[in-house]
Amino acid sequence: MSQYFYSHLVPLDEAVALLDARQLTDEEKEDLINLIHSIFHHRILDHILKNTPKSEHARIIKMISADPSDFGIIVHVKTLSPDIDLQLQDLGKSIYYEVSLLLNR
Amino acid sequence: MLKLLHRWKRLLFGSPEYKYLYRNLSKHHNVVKKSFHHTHKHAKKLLNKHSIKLENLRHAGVKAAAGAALATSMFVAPAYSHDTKSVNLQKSLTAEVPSAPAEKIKAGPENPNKQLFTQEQFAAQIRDIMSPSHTREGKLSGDQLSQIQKMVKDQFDINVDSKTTAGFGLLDDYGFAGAEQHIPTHVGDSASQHVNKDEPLAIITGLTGGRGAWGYAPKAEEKWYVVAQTFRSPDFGTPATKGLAGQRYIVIQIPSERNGNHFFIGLGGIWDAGPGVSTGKVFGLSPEYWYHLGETAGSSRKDQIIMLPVTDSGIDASQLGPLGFK
Repeated sequence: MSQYFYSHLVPLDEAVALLDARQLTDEEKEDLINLIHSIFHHRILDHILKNTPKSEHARIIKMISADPSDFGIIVHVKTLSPDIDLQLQDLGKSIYYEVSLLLNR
Repeated sequence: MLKLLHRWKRLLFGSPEYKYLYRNLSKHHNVVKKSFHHTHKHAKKLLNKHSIKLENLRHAGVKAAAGAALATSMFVAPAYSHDTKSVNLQKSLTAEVPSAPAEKIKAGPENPNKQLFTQEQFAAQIRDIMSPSHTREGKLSGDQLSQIQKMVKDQFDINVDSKTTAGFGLLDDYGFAGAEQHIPTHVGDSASQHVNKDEPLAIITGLTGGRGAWGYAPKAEEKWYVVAQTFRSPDFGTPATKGLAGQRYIVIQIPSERNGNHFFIGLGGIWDAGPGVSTGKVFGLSPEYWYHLGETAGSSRKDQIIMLPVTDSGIDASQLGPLGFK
C-alpha cells in the first residue's frame, strides 16, 4: 500500500483494489497500478495548484520532492486554502468513479 | 530502459485483458497529463528542477506520515480510509458502473425533413464557408450567415440567426472557445455530482466557486451549458438583454488542420458569462463538450467554433447536446 500526503483523503487504495478481480500477472498489475496512481497524482496536484497562490507553488513542490508521504503538505496547503481537504475528498470520489468506469467499460 | 522494454513486451504479448485495461487507462492518463502540463506550465519547470515525475511518485515510506498524523488530525477532515463510508461508496459506485457505456449521439429536435448531408459533407461545407475568415474571432458575413442558416434549417429543422428574437447579438459569431468547469445547480452542489457515467472520458474539471451569471443552472441543462461574452455585446444593458438566461445556442465546431478536421454540432443553453477578455477566447463550453470535440481539441482545450442563437422556442433540456446525423 502506497502512502502519499493525500492518501487519507481519497480512495486511492480502493481504486487499485478494483484490479483484484482481474486475471493479471504481477507485472501487468504493477503497470496498471502505476497508471492509476499517476492519474490521482496529476488530478490532486492540479487541484491544489489551482487553489493556492502561484507564489507558493515552488514551496509545495519542494515539500513533495522532500517526502511525498508527508501529511504536513496538506497542513501547509490548508493554511492557504482552508477547505482544501474537503475539496480533495470530493475530488477523490470523482477520480475513483472515473477509474472504475475505465476498468469496467 | 529494461522496464520499458518489458512493458512493451507485455503490451505485445500480454493477456487481452491487460492490453484492454492498459489502453483504457493509458488514454485517460494522457488526457489528464496533457491537461495538467497545459494548465501549469510553470509547475512543469519546478517538477523538473526537483526531479519529480508524477508518473512515478515514489513514496518515501510511512514514517513521516505516522509522525505527522496526530498533529494533522487536528486540522484535516476525517480520514478517508477503509471505514464503512468508503466501503459503501465503493459498493454503490461499482453497482452503478455500466458494462459498456458507449458514446451516445442523441437525435436532435424532431425533424420532418430528410437530412440532406452526411456528417462529412456537412463538415466540409462548414469548412468551405469559413475558409475566407482568417481572424481569430468576428462576425459572420451576410453570405456566410445565410448559408449556415439554410444548412441548419434543411438538416435539422432549426432556425438560427445572429440575434435572439429579443434582438440580442453577441460581439462575435465565431471565435475560440475554452473549457469551462461545471457550474453549481443547487446549494451544496459538488464536483462528484457532475461525474458523467455515460462519457467517462469527459474530463471532470471540478466545480466553479460561484454560481453562473444567472444563478444556479437547471440540473437538466448544466451538462450542455455554454458561455459567451454577453458583457461585450453592443446590446448589453438594453431591453434585449432580458430573457437571456438559458437562451439556446447552436455550437458548430469549425473543422481545420489544427483540430484534425474534427467536427461537432450541438445545442446548448447559456448559463454563464465569460470568458475574461484577457484569455483571448470568446466562448466557453461545459466539460462534456470537450469529449465530443475530439481528442485534438480536447487535449489543448481550445478550439474555434461558431455560436449562433436559436430563434425557435420550446427546445427543452432533453434536446440539448450533440445533434445526430443519420
